[in-house]
Amino acid sequence: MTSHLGTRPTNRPVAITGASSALSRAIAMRLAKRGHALALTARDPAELEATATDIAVRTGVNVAAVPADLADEAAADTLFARLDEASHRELGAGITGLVIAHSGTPDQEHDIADPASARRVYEHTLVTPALLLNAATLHFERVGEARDRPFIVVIGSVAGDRGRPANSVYGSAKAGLAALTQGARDRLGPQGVSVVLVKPGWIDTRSTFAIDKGRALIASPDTVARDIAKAIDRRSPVVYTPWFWRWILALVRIVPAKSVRRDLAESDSTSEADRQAARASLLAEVRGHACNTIERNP
Amino acid sequence: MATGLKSTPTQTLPPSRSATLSGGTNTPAHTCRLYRPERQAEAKSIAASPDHSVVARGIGSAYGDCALNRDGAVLDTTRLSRILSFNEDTGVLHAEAGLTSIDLIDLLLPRGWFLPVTPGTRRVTLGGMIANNVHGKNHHRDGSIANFIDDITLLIAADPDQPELVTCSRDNDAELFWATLGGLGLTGIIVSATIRLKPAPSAWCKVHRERAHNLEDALDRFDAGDDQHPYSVAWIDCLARGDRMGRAVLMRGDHAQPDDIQGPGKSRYVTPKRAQRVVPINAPGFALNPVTVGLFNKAYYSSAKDGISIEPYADFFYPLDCITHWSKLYGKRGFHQFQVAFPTATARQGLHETLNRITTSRQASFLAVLKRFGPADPSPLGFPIEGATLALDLPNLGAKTEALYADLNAITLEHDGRVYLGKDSLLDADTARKMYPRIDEFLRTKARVDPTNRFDSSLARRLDLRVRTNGADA
Repeated sequence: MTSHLGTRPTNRPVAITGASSALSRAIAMRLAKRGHALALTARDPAELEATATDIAVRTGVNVAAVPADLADEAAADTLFARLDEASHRELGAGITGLVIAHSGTPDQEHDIADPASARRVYEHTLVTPALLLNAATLHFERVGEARDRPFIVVIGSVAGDRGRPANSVYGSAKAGLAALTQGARDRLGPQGVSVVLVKPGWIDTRSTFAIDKGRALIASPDTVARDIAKAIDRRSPVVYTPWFWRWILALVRIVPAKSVRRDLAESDSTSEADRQAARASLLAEVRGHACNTIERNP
Repeated sequence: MATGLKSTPTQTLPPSRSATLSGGTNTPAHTCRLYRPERQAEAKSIAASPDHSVVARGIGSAYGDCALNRDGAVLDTTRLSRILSFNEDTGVLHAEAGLTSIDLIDLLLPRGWFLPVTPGTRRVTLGGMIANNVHGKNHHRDGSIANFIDDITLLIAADPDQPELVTCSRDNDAELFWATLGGLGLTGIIVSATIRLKPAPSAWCKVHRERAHNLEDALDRFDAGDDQHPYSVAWIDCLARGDRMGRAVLMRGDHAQPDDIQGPGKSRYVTPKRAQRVVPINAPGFALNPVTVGLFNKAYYSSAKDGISIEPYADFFYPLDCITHWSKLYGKRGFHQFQVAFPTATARQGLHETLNRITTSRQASFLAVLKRFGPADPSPLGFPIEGATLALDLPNLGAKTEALYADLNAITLEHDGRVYLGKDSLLDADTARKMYPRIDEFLRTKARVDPTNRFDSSLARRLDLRVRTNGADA
């Protein structure tokens, strides 16, 4: 564990997981520019050091680097305590904010066939984020002070809104995390702790880099980080980012699977049936577009 | 994963996609496999892949094809852009190659530091500046960026199955260090480097402007006054003919001292935000023609006032950066940039004949820049030689432009001049060898760190900057 001393007074330390990823780095920069001291954690110590120094030099805040390999059960179980302890020791105060931004790397077909692979995805997308959220819930319930405006941000996914054959392993993990987040929010609400569930669509990171069509829909990590910062200010319970994903997902959820079955669209006979079929095929098309879009989202 | 090609089981390649890329001039455009690693280890796995060669690319401002690799891989460095250390007292900065000058200046100029050498745009990365060994308006005094680079950390492929990171400097493998400066990315992937920034007394510049009525006059004025100005450059009218040929506006100056900055609302390290204009679409082909450019040049020359002014640094160093996509003014066929350097002995004659050929061609160029170069540095592919340099845009008119280009090359060779490889896309291998007599020396270094041409580019193949391999040339 090392600290990178910045040059300006900082306060209200925030812990961020998955800190080597492009999204976490963007979130960290946003929060640092607001004067939050940071406790960052990621697996690779060298990458983490580089990221911590970068943010400290650019923004002048104090950054503590806490490497942790969450594949190690003991490391995962004690992560929150370690982050809080590092924050006390190196940043001069306990954690007042937590951003849970790490996740597994899904590969649906492989995950379905290989239990070890699926286990890894659930481990990093659901289990370790959930354990961290539980620890944070208890912690803030005990020591959360409304004047610190404490917050917890959980990075979910639009993939958690509806199970799709193409990414249901990852989607189910994110859906589970969403339910846990909802519970934590209701539990901590009276304490003045805001709990934000973020549902990003496509973000311009490693996982969408291979997409070569429709890249206009892909948001920069900084756009997503800006939306997250805004959601923290507004104490929003759930935020889709960029905003249009809320409407794409609303559409996907309300279109019943039955009405878009192709056999219905193919039925002939009466003009009423024709109209129905036409309507259904139109819906199918819209839904297909939306689902394809989501499917590509890990 | 988009690539269906095999890869070694221990090193999975990061995601990639097929992309048609071009440089800052819109021409040429090549289809490449594009990667964008977010961690240094990923860069290593890309270099280790036997499936393709690779060249690094920053934000793609380079004119020409040095950061393209037709049917090979291109490694976008923009996500490897972290500051690894910075000493606030000495200005020594260690950063990853993808750090841009935009970021660097926004971040460090308010703290009193500036780039020791900067090209005429902020749209460059640290790695790109090293790979092209860039020069700036202060070359006559300070030399190229090489003079301010302390060390370079480079991914080499001496063993192509096991690429490794090495750090080179003047004391540690100086041969590799100098080959990498100006080496166009062909010695390896530049991962990070240490650069010595220079103290900037303010974010303003004190600029002396004077008009010169022709080329001879401009060169005389350079000779007479350049010693007093750390920065010196001239804009030159490529359409004026006869005894007005090469009429110019000289712009010379230095960073303004705090005392120079007076007037309401002027603060030492804050300059007014510039209005950013955007060229939204490619202009029609006829937009820039001898008449419109002639009018522009005439207006520019006539409106220039001789005298001293205090200007925001960006107006002096980066006049075009306030127009996003300015290259679209040249239309969808784009343009070629031609930059030539002549040694002192032949500079006047060489420049005179070059300008003469251009003005008679009537191929409009509204951006021509003339400046003096100081002594060359030891980099084998370095462009600057002591003398003078002229840079101008040639709208891409196909065969007509290539004919002009061939004539310009002949003039260049005749006067012992050379063309800037980092801006070029038309030179052939034989001509390049004549202009750069140390190519073989460069290739001997490359053979040591990259015997199989794992680091390769469209430019390298065009100019044959490749290591001879025994029959099994990849």
